[in-house]
This record gives sequence, C-alpha cells and structure tokens, in this order.
Amino acid sequence: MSDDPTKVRIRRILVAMDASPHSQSALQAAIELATHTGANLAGIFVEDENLLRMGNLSFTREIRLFSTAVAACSADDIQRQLRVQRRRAEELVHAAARRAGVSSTFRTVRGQVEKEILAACSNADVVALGRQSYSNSGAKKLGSTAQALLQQASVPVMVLPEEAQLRAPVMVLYDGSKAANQALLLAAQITKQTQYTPLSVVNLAATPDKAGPLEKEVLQLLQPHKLHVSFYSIGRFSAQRLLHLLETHQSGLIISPAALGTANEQQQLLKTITSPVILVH
Amino acid sequence: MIKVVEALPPEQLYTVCNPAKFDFVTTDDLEPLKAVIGQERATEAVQFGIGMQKDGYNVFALGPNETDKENLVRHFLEARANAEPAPPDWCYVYNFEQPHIPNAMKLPPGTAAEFSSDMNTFTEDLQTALTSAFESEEYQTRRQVIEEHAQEEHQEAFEKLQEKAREKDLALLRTPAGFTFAPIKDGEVTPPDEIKKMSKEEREALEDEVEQLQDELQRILRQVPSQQRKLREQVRKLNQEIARLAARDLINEIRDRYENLQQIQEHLDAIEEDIVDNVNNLVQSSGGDADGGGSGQLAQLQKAQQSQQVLQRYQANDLIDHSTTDHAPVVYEDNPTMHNLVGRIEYQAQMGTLVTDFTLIKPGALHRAQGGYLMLDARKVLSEPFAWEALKRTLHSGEIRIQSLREAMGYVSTISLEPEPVPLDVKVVLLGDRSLYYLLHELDPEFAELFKVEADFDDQMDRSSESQHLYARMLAALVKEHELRPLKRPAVARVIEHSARMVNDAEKLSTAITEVKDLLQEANYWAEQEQRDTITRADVNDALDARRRRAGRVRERIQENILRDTLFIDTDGEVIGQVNGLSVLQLGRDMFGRPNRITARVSLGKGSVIDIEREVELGGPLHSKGVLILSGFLSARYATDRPLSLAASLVFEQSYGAIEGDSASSAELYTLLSAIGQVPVKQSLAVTGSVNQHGQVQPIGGANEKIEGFFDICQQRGLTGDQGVLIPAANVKNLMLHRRVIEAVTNGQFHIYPVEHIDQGMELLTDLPIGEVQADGTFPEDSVNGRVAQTLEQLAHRRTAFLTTSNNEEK
Repeated sequence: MSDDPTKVRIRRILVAMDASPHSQSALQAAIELATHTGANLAGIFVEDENLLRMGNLSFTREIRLFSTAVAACSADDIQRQLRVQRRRAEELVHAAARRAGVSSTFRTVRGQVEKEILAACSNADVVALGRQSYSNSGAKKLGSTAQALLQQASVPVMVLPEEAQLRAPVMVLYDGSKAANQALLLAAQITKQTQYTPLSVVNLAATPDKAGPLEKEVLQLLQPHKLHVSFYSIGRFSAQRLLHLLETHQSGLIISPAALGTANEQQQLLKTITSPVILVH
Repeated sequence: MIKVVEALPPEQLYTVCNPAKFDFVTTDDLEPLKAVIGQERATEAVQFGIGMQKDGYNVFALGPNETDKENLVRHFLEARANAEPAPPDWCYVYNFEQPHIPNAMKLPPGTAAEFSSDMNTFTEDLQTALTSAFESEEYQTRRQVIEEHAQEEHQEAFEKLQEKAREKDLALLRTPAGFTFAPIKDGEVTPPDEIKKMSKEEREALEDEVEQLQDELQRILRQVPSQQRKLREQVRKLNQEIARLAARDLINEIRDRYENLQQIQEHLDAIEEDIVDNVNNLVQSSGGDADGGGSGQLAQLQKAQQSQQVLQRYQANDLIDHSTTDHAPVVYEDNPTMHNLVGRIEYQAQMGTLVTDFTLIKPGALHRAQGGYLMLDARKVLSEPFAWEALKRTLHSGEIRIQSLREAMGYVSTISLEPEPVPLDVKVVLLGDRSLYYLLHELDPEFAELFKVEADFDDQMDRSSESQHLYARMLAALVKEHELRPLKRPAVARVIEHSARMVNDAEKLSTAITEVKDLLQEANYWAEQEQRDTITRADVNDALDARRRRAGRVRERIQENILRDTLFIDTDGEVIGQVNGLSVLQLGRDMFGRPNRITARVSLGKGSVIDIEREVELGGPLHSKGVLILSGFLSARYATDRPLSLAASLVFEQSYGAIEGDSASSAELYTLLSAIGQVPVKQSLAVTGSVNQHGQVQPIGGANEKIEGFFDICQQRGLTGDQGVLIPAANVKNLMLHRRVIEAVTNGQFHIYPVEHIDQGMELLTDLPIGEVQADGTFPEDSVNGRVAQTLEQLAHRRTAFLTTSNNEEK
C-alpha cells in the first residue's frame, strides 16, 4: 500500500494456489486485476506440514474422495502428491500470466498453511484465494485458510467462489469506518484502472440521519479521483437485505470493510455471495 | 381392249378450296374455335381417362408433337380441374417416436401454411416463456431450497464428524487425493515422537478412534453419489413441472385453433411431452440456467445449437399448401428428374458434415399435383436416371415415397430420413410419340397396367366443306392467340389447300397445328414486309416458297447435276431398256422428288432377274420383293409353255446410296419389257408406281413430290409438250400439285397419266399396242407382247440348242 493515505496502489498480488477450482478462480481474478493495474503476480504454494507429519504416523489412512477406498498413506506418498499438485499450480500461474502478459513469480514453501500465507502477505498489496480449498464436502462456508487470513491479514483479501469472474461494476460497501475508507479508496483505484464505471457505493449508515453526511464523506474522499458514483441504500443493516441488493445489481466485484455486522452475518454474506469479494482491514 | 389412258385435267391435280364458299372477309369475322378439331378419338380417350377414377387408368397421349397435343390435353385437364375443389394440404412434422420417419399430416386445404406459421411463432414464444419461467423468483427459490436441503444434510453429517474428531483431539485433514484423520495438538499434527512416547494402551485407543472415524467418513462419502442423484432427480422434477406450466398455455392456444383436427391434437400432445423431457436443453441456451456462464464460446455455441435443434422439432414443414387456389392443380413438370417427381431431402453442411431434418423435405411434382393432374413428357422421364422407375413405383404402390438418388443407387448409407409416404391421388398424363408408346407396351410389362388409356392423336382429318369451315375458325383462333394479322378469305383457302398437301391427300387435312401455326407466322412476316394489314394468299405462297428455298440446297444441287449432265437423265428421245423412275428424298422438313435412270440388260440365262442393288446390298427388302414380283409377272404372261430362258439385270444408274420401297417396280418392269422386246421407251415420260404379279399398278407415297421433281427438270430444260409422268390411278386422290405444274398442264405442256395396269403404261411409253393374247395363245407380232414373246421364244430355243450341243459334247 502506498504511504499516501488518499491513494492506494496495487503493485503486487499474492495468489494462494492449491490447484482447486476455487483457487483457479482466484488466479483468474488476480490476473484480471493485474492486467489493469500493472501489478506483478506472485503465486505461492504451501506444502502442508501437517500432512507430511500425518504421513509419518503409522496408523493413519487416507480415504479417497471418489472411490472412498481406504489406503495406507506414507510421508513419501504425501510428498509425491504434493509435488504433483505444486507442479500443476505453478504451471497454471505461469501459463495464465503469460497469456495475459503479466509478470509472475512462483514460490513454494513448507509449513503450516495459514502461517506461511500470512507471512507471505507482508510484501503484497492484495492477496487472492479461493473460498475453500475443496468443494466436495458440500460445505459452502469459508475454508480455514480464508478464515485465518480474513482475521489476521494486514492487506486486502480477495475471496473467490468457484467459477466467479471479476467484471464490472465494482460495488463498495461503506459504513464510515477506517477500513471502509480504505475500501473506498481501493475501489476508486480499481474502478479507474479497469474503467468499470460507474462506481457503486452502498451507503451503510447506521441510522437514516447519518446517511447524508456519510454520502458527503464519500464524495469528498473520491473527489481527487473524479469518478461517476451511484449510491445505493438498504435502510437498516441486515445481511439478508444487503444480499438482496447485491443479487439484484449483479455486481462484478464487491469491496467491503472486513468487519461488517456480526461474525455470523459475515459468514452468511461470504458464503452466499457469488461474485469476488475484497475485504479490507 | 385396253382402256386408253387420258392425261388428267388440271382440276384433278389440285383440289381447290373455293374461297367463294366462305361467308367471311377475313378471319376477324369468324368466331375463333376453342375446341379441338379432327381429334375425336383422342378427345374421347382423354375425357374417359380423366373421368375414370380407378387404379391404372392413367393416360398416355400419343401422336406427333405437331398436333399440339400438350396444349390440347392441358386444355381438357384445366377445364376439369377448375371444376374440382382444392385438394387437401400436406405437412411433414417431427415423429417423436421414430425421428427418422417424419410423419405426413393431411390437413384441410389452406391449413398447412397457417399451421406451419403458428408452429413457428410457437417455437419463438416457447423459448421466451420458458426463459422467463425459469428466471422467475419462484423457480429460483424452489431450486435453491432443494439444493440447500441436500447440502445441509451432507454438511451436517460432515460437521458432526469433525466435531466428534475434535473432541478426541483429532483433525480431519484434506490430502490432495482425499481425507485423513490425524491426532492434533495446538493446531498442529502431533509429531511421531510424541506418539511413540505413548503407552501401548493409549496408542491402541487412538488407533481405534481413528479407525472408527475413518469408517464413518467412508460411509458419509459413499452416500454422496446417491444424494447427488436424488438432488438431480428433484431438480429434474421441478424443471418438468415448471416447463409444463410454461408451455401449456401456448400449446392450448394452438389446440383450440385446430380443435377438429385429431392429428394435430395428437401431435401437440407429443410436443408437450417432448418439451417436458427436453427442458434442460431448451433452457440452458436461453440463459436461464446458472451454469450457462463460465464455459467457453464453443460450448455455448453447441448449447445454442442443441436448443435450436430441439426447437426445430416443433416446427411444421408445409409441403403442399392450397391457400391461394380454390381448385385442383394441373402440373406440367418439364424437368422430370427423379427428385423433381417424388420430392427430395436436402442437406445442410454443418461443421463439415451433411445433416438433414424433416424441415428440409421438399415436394416433387407428384406432391404438387396431389388431388389433380400431372402432365409429363414420356421421353424426358425415360431419359432421366431412375425417374421412370420412380414414377412406376409410385403409381403401383399408390403412395409417394421420397427416396434419395444416392440411396436408390445404393452408393451411400448415411443417416437420412425416410419420410412417411403420402397416399397418391394424382392422374398422370404422359405425352409421347407413337413409337415410344408401342415400344413401352412391348418392352415394359408394367406399362400396360399403369397407363390403360391411350389417347391417340391423329395427324389428319377428313376434308369436307364443314370441316374446311371449322378449319377456318381454328385458323382464326391461332391468329388471335398469336396476335397475327387476320387472314383474307383466299389466304384461308390457300392454307387449307396446303394443309391437304401436308398430308399428301386432297381429301384430308393436316392436324399438325404447330406447323400450320408456323406457316401463319411466316405468312404474317411476309405481309409485314409488304406493309399489309391482312395476310393474303400471296403472303401464304411467299411463305411456302421461301421455306422451300431455304431448304432447297440439296434439291437444287441434284437438279443442277442433272441439267449439267453429270447425272444422266434424258427428257426426250427414245431408248431401249431405259426408263425414268422417280424417287423421293426427305431431308429435315423438306421432301422432294428426283428422277432416276433405271436400265435393264437381257441375255440368255436360266430365267432369273438380277437386281444389282440387292447384289451389292444397297436394295432394301421391299425393293427386292418388288423385283421378284417382276419374275412372277414375266413367267405367268410369257413362259407358260416353255422355260423362261433369260438372264436380266436391273439397276438404278448413278445411285450411290441405299434404295428402299417398291415404288419403282412398275418402272423396272417397263424397262425389262423394253429390253426384252427391244422396244424403245420415250424418255420424255417418267414413271412411278408399284406393280403386282398380275401387272396391276398399285399406289405409292410422295406422288406430288415425285411429279414436281421430274417437272422441275423438264421445265428447266424447256417443256416440249410431250413430257409427263405416269402415276398409279389410285394416287389421283393424293394430288395437290404446285401451281407451276398446274399451269403447265393447263397449257398442255405437261401431262399426268393415271395408269391402272402395266399394259396401259407400256402403250403410253412406247406408242406400240400392248397386244392382246390371241386364240392360239400367241400375241400379235407388232405389239409389245408380241416382240417380248418372240425374244423369249428365241432365247428358249437357243437355250435348248445350247443344252443339246453341250450334252452331246459331254457324251
């Protein structure tokens, strides 16, 4: 992030890869963003320390996803599987970057997944990752890595559902918090660079009388960017109302402060929204 | 006594049509004759044929094309068809049970196009209706509920398992290929060292727990496929329900419109079921399905194509529609290929392959003529590959079956359609010449069965004052139809006279209407050149003369060769054993006569007459027959009591082509008698006519041309007044000679002698009496017979003497 509080610059986008469909969506969205912002794409693959350790336990078994067969699984086996996965992830990142004409790097680290990605975040401006690492459990909720990043990452986190695509329009959720200001600036930057105008701002004023000043604040913050802005309002805040608004307007990218509503509401929002979401701290 | 032959008076050479007997000035005064003249037999046959409603009573109209039979037949058919109601329409629709056999649908006249357009609108509306139904909140919510319900069930089991594991300090981990359980401590998998430190009991307990959880997880995962199947089934049922609701209104609207048409009602039922079964294909493309977005362009294209294919099934192909007519059709197919007759299936190129469906079925002439009449040119049908067979098969089976040529030939067996055959209801009229009809009758066993009615168009009609009047009215009709100048009365008479000449018969008229029409058009041209408002007799004569000149190159070349004495023909003087025979040549439309020198030489022999033409195979069988008859005549008359002891040879001099016909046999007999009796024959006369064993002269064809052929030579050399032609008396009725001949005859410069018997001819040619047989069986000395008999007797004696001498020598 830039030092200038009114400006946000995206120079490096970190993509956490595990070759799952979700992470491929994340890669595509990151590429799209990088194409417009000129940022560098940094792929990262974490060889899960836990899995390697598990492989050393004599009594654990692997239950295969499709065949549901139970098989012995040594550390060597895990090592081999991870290597295959890593190679695929690396190929995906480089191929996609090459196609889009974006510069890319790729790094493999070994350790605890969340820790390593959090560590890697420190020199990135945005981190992109899939909503889940796997989709077959049937769960729609956030994966553990995504959850950890959302809670602890210092940079904006872009979360992508399976098959979601980054496109116009950009919609920013604004509640007047510091994080919301950051979100607004990021949204302004992305809107300008992608030309996904107009920028849609959802006014999340806590009470109706605060809506006016909030809107003024937004306009003031956006003044240097000279953007065409459309405002939306949902009245009293609830996840349900917000979701309805987002669905009817078919936004292509949602930028929101990370702390919005209760933890439950956050969970509900993230698991239901079908477009890419960037959460800003 | 032999009857003396008198030369024919001019009025017998040309049967005039007297203009004074007509009561009009020009053809404009006449009521044009619409009906057909002189074709009573054919007319009756055609009317019988089109009225007879039984199988196989199709019509073959035979006769020369010049009779204009195509127009005549069409005239009859149209008159009949105009009084008949419009026949039913035909549609092809998709067959949902057997897609490769599209169903044929019979509809009331004028309904097919309407139904087809209704179905087109239906397909367009259907997509919109389905799209909005599937985009409706109701559908989306119900679908999400189903999906979420299924997921929740699964997720709950999964979460319970995770919870259970957590209680036991175990974690569910995702490996690249599946899941596993591992003991966990502070969020990390317990290192193996710590496990090792556990007591045996503790470790066994841990292992047991892991195993239990694994079993449970396995059970949960195993349920996934059946759960997903259940989910899909529920979604499918929902989709079907929504689709049925969305489509029903549209379908009912059409159902109401065609309330009384059972076939359409059944087809609509089938469409409704098909929409329900194929709703996924239909909706995906219209963007109603959530999966529509992400897949590539090709996939989208394929989906769109797929839905298009499904929608196309609901259309209707209005093969035959009678919304614009109110009577039965009369169709003339002038290019009767197999496909043009029975219809064809077209193909479209799609991504490099050829595909087809029922909308690409195209009707043939038989379809278009359904409920009416189809006219075909027999020769064209026969010359198109497989067309004749296809026509017969259709008539035989009573149904029109569309088959592609490639299949008929057995070359390819691509997936194609076999449209349901349409029951045949067509009366077929074939037009052809007589030889074709008789050939088909002889060679094609099915022909007689399928074309039971022969409409035989005559090429001539009787000539009487009534028929001449009708003929004049027919000319008036032609004048009107072809927008020509009206004919004056004498011109009409001249055309009628020429019509008689066309059939070479003074008592008949030609029914070759197209030729008469040509003559009128040409006469009209000459009238125009003369800047006349009407066609006169002179214009008709000009037209005929010009036509003769145009075709006259060969004729003039032959005449020139005769006049320049390259071809030897004498027209005066007397020569023994030499007669001017007459032959006729046809080149294109022009027919003309020419004289041929026939000579004979006689010597001692065994009684044979050698026909040199036959010896070199230039004489045809009829010519040879004529020559052999001569021997019969000679033997009977002169050799009843002694052997015929001569060897005679006969030849057409300077003839370099084949000779056929017996019309020169009388000339040959005259030559032979002259040669035997050493009687000179007048070269100023020419001869035509065949002869029988009794010496009677029999009629021949082309009398007019033959006379004119000899006349032209004589005239160009200068008429002497002695010149003339001997024709069979039976041919007098055929005479319609050119006016130049008539003029010469009137002036006594040329003579036509009608001869009944060879004796009359011989007297004319030699000026010697023929000599009748006397009581003692001999002939008077100074007569033709006398001289001939004398020579033959001498020859017989010489032969006997010769035989005796040679016999003695042998001894």
